Amino acid sequence: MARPKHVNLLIIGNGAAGGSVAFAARAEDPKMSILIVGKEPYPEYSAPALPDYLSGELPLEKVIVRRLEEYKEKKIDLHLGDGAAKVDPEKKAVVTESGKRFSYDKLIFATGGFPIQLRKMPGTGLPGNFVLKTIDDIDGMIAYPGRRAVVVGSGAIGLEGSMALKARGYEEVTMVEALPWLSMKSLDEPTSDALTAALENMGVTVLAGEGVEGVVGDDKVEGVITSKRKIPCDLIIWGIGVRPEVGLAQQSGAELGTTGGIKVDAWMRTSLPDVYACGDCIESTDRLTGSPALHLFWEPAQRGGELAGRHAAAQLAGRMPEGAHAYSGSVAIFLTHKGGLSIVAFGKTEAGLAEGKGRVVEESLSGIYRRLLFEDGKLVGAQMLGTLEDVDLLLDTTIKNALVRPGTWDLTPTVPLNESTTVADCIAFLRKERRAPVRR
Amino acid sequence: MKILTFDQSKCDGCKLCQGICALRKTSEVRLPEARVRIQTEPVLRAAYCQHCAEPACVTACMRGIISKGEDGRVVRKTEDCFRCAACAVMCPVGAVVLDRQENAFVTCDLCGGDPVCVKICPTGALKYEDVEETIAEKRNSYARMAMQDMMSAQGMPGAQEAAEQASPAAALTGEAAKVQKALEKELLTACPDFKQIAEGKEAE
Repeated sequence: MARPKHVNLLIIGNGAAGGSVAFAARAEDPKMSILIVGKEPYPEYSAPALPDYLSGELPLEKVIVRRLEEYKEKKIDLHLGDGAAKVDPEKKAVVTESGKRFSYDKLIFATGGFPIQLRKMPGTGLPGNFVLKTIDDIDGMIAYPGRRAVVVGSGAIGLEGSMALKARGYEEVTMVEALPWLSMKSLDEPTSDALTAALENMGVTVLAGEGVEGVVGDDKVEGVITSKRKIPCDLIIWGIGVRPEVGLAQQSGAELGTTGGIKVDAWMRTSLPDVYACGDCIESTDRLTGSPALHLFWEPAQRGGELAGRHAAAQLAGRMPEGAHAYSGSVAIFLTHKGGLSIVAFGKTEAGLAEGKGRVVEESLSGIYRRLLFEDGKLVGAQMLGTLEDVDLLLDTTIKNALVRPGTWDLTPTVPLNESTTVADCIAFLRKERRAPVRR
Repeated sequence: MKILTFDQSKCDGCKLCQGICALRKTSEVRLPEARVRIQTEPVLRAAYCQHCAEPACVTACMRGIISKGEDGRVVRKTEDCFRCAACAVMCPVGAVVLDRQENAFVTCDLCGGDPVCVKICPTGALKYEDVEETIAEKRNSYARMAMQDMMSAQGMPGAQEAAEQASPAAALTGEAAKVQKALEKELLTACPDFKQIAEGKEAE
């Protein structure tokens, strides 16, 4: 058998995390060899921009984050369209699906996440069932004939998928959510109500509190059965969640965290020697709660990728990355800003407020809904629809408040709340009390 | 590298900087779209891009179009912005605005090294200065403020003098004064109601 090709830094995965690793490592060390092994045939692209590609607003080339010339210019080798199949951490070797073999000095798992699919539910294997995760998923939907769609789930994919199909020209788009209201992990019921009104205004039918029980159709999707009705449709988008893709890491013996993501330290190192992980496949730390969490978002992937790349490259050169800060965890921010809809939410929801200490201040005014959540006068969360005004202040305050631990000197503002306190009063008070912003 | 600096103690809240920025960047005086914005209530504050050492917007950008150049400036390829708003949400100082004309989220680009807001500022509150010197100066001014606080809290004499020393009056003279007047005239011609607008809520 031919000797495996040796590279200094081998990256498995070509999403936001994998790309950041490669370019950050190159900035750290101009000489080392860097190879990205990717399952998909495309250079790095923006998954969050895919709904805009689906709607027709963005052409494919505008979804691509890095052009092939950029990799070439930075001497970053690509092995695309042929994912990694096996990793041997003892021999420091990787074999791809097609049998190509590589050996490495440092390895990075940037394997991302996969959309949850209900394969056991009848009808989910029929043509017309889609997820919204990759360029190929979108191309499949664009090529598929349809005018009525059901979108299952009300997270970012559900919301943005529904709007994109509507913008694409679908006559009927119905969003179905099994839980009592939309995006229940991030939003309270009144925020969900305001969001529902905004979606209905855009022509999307919203059905919450009814779970999908089956898909009907002979040789293709013809409808969806929920606990309350049958909805005829041609196409279904399953937006019921994304899980970290950890199969390869697990087989290699890398330790997983309690949440199911790959366990990493503050420099993104896994339990295996010379093996790092970053992006959607890892277990992060929620900066607001201090607990392990799955944060499958762009920003932590990008930041964690940069850190992993810099640390791995510096270590190969026998040093530490200069001026780099250990990974501080991440904050879950629910954000959709497109097609005239703007919603942002972070921190605790009402259900999560400490008993007897919680207080909600809300305001609904000409299409704008703002909701602030407090515990003993400390801001612990915010939800806002139709505006981004003062979001920096609210997010900053929420993070700072959360970082106060028992026994530390608490300089965070306590908002004086009484029966008549308005959202504007709270914001004015927080503006006045604003100190230097916290490092994100 | 030079950046914009703002001295709160010298600002009188006239918002001429905000007006001229909006006029030059959007060819209209839409104050909320200015890349430097002055908040007067409840405390005086200027929101503009700090060209952070570790910019939150760069990692937040879901299109990879924001970067920190070798000269230290944060730059954006605005033509590729798909308006996901992640940079606006993650920016800790509220420096990012949605420019309706460019149809993109934007920040201060320092006017390519010749910021017009600095030239129109009648009190010298906005300056375009070397970042290292600025940091040293800020550190000193915070120390002075803390000292004044302490002196007044303890009823020590000299607190008032220290405060005055910290913030010398700065009237523009010569060429700078002429440039300032000309810019102010340009702004007031383009937007005769500027002063009323600047005082109103819609300026934010």
